Amino acid sequence: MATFTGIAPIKQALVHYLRESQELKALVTSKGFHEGDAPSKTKYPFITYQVHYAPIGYTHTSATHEVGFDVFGWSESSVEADNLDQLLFTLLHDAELSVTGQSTLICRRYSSLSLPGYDDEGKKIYQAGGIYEVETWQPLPVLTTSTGSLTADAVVV
Amino acid sequence: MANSSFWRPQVVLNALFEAENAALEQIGTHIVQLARAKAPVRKIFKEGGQRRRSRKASPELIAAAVRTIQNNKRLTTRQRTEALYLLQRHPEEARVGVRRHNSNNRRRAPLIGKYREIAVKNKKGVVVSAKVFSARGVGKGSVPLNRIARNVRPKTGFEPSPGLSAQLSSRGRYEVRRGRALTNEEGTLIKPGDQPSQVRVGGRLKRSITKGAITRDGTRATIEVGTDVPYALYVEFPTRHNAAQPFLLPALKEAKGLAVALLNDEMRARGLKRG
Repeated sequence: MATFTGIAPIKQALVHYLRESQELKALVTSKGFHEGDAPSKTKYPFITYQVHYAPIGYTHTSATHEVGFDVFGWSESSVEADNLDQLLFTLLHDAELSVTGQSTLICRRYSSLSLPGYDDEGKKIYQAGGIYEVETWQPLPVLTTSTGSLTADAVVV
Repeated sequence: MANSSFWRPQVVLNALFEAENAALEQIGTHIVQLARAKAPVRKIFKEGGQRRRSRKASPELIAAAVRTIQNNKRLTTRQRTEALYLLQRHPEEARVGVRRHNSNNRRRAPLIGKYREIAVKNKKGVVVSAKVFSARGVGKGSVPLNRIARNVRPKTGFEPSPGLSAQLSSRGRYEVRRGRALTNEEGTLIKPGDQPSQVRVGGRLKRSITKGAITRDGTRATIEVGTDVPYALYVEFPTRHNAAQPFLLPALKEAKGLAVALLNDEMRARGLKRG
């Protein structure tokens, strides 16, 4: 019987896909991937990812997950941040993610964002990336109905 | 060849546009409600079990601190004068409490010195904290079991009442004095001298989420849902030191499935759709 799985396998598939990329590892090293936000002393450049939204669409027999991930590259140089963003786009747009228990239908860039900012030391930093939407499908587990019988010992008329 | 353009009577088109507008209004309201439910609110009120950070210093404690500073021979005249001036001229602003001295607190360190919390064990082996007060730039003094701190309060024209102050955390009192946490019903900041009918404390981002008017461009109708708070972008998307706390996009995505159903209902109500 198929098991209904949530968004965890989708997140694992995305992170695994990012960490496998040799070009990305050459830029940010294996310690350059952070979920949510990176610790204060993290060296640039690095990448952050986070689930942005995850609604589920149900039919009678299946469920569709539509999960949006914020994936951003951070750098002290705007050129490096843009290059990181372009590399992420090349990797993730129309990527074939392997999600446990689900079939990946789409992995596409949904929106882009580029923001300069400052860290706590007053240094200017650049953030570039966007939202990647991953749509997956999986069949719902079939509900088994138990059959039973009703026996009446007495009938009241 | 027959004319391939599709002609609809104007009355049908008008009914269709009305149905679209009605459906869009309902979708907009739904998205606003969802986004407001998801929007984060900064915690400015005390919650159960939250430790009180500081309290007003009693006159005896202030007198003890004054004696300590007067007897401290390692202070320069200027340091002693400055410390005594603040304690003696503005004793109502002296606070007693615990504050860990770290880089984040450096901006709010008291003017008269710094203090550290040292953990010690009492006779039963229970860890208790002993506070050590030291004047700025000098070695340690001591104020047994208590510590004097003085915060410089900005004069902004806002001061929480005693009743409200008791409910706010220290962050909340700061936000109220700064005026950042005071909004009216629509989520707009109030200014000193304003007489709003109702003042709300906290939740500015949540209350500012609204929907705009429907705009139509040919056969395409659009309604905008959003907020005009300047920091909303930094809440929706991640920043260098804060993870994202999305509220608008998740609301939009969750309401998307409802859009078609609402439009169908409105069309059926106007006889444009059967079933």
